[in-house]
Amino acid sequence: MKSPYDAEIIGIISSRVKIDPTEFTREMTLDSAGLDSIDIIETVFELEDRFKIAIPFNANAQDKEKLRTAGDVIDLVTQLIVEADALVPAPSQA
Amino acid sequence: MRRVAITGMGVMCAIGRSMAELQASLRESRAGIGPISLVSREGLQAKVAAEIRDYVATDHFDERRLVLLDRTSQFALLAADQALADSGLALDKIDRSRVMTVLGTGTGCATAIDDNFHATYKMGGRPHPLCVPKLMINAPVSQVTMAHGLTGPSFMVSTACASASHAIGVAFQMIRAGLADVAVTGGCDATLSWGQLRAWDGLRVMAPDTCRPFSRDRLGMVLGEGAGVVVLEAMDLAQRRGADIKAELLGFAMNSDAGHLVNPSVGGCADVVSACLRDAGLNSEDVDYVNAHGTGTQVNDIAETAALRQAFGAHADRLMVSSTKSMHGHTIGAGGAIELCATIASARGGFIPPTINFSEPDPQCDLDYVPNVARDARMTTALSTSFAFGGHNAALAVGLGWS
Repeated sequence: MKSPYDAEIIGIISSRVKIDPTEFTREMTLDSAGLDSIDIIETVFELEDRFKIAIPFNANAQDKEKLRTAGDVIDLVTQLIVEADALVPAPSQA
Repeated sequence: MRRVAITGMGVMCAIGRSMAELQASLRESRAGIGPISLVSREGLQAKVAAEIRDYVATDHFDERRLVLLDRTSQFALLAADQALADSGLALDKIDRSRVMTVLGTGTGCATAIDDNFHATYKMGGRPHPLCVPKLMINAPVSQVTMAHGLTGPSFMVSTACASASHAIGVAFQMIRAGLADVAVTGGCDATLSWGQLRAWDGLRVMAPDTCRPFSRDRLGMVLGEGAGVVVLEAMDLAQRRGADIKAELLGFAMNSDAGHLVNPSVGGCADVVSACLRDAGLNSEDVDYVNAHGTGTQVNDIAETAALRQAFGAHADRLMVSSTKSMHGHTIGAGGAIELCATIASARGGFIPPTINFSEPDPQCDLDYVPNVARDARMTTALSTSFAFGGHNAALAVGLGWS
């Protein structure tokens, strides 16, 4: 299922490793795309800033498994945006 | 080469503001980690730290002096006072140009940096006119030299979590080489400012509740604060003046991973341990105990376990290993010094300090971590290891048959 945020989330992930966003699939793992542990921390930070959300992610917990693929990231971020939107007025742009 | 004695120790940390208190805390598995009270917890993901609770600066320093003393410098001064008193050295009767001072710090004077730049950038104010000499990274060591009139070499070492071990190691080498007779050395760090805590949050390696080194359910590190200082003395001089020798510093090694900025390398950690044993003239079987770096992160604890196995071979199964960070937290640039003090204090108390909060063995961490309770056992030789962000590694070996 496509979320209205798919393209932007993929854009943020792909910019980290300079891969064309069109080459990304939901099934692609962040690891195979070339994101190392530092890239993932920066990506999480950028997604939080962009969408004004807090992503529960501790590198020492099983959280890493929750963010294994691009699809995992899209689903979690979308869910957090929806939850945040339920609390505050909808953002002006999707 | 001259042999080097440890004749004095001093400590300021969450589980001890004196060596006696530290020893009692280690013996009783006292937890120093608790909810952050120094700064607002608002906006923090990790809301716990190992603070020195109820510390009141004006109980120790007058207000005029405090203008130039960040919390980091205060802890360094207090630990140095203790260590020098403990050594029994009569500073007025010795040549103080032969006394060197070298301390480590990871961050330096975090609170002074935060406060002054917040005032400037955010509040439209000005930095305090004395903020430069207050927040400079060498301020703590400079303050210690001035407090005691120590005119030998002095400098600060900054290699993140290896800072204190590197400082002690370099002082050890300088005494060995005859460049100084006495060294006041260790480390200090008080990084629990709101800005620093938020910065650490960003790395996503902080435990939300507590530090559980080597336990399967570990969730990361917990910051602490404090200082540890030891007085090193040329053994011949210490013996001649009839000093109470607490331990002998037997060996030191340092190296660099030259790999990843934040992930440790098993090879680098194993090599520094092996090099330390060689420097000390020890065989693996001589070592009873290792005070591990043991941060409680997934990555560190697995790499460190593998490194100890590689360095100690079959003896690793008989080695006792613990992380006292489970009690006093990760004190960054003070870590190696506080942990060396903890090791010696435990040896003198006739026990091995525990790794507390250990609830579940991890198949990838399969050494004897002395879980949860101190163990009555004699240690004659121990190692203290530090593996820092930046790939800086250090190991110190101590002989403990002096108690």
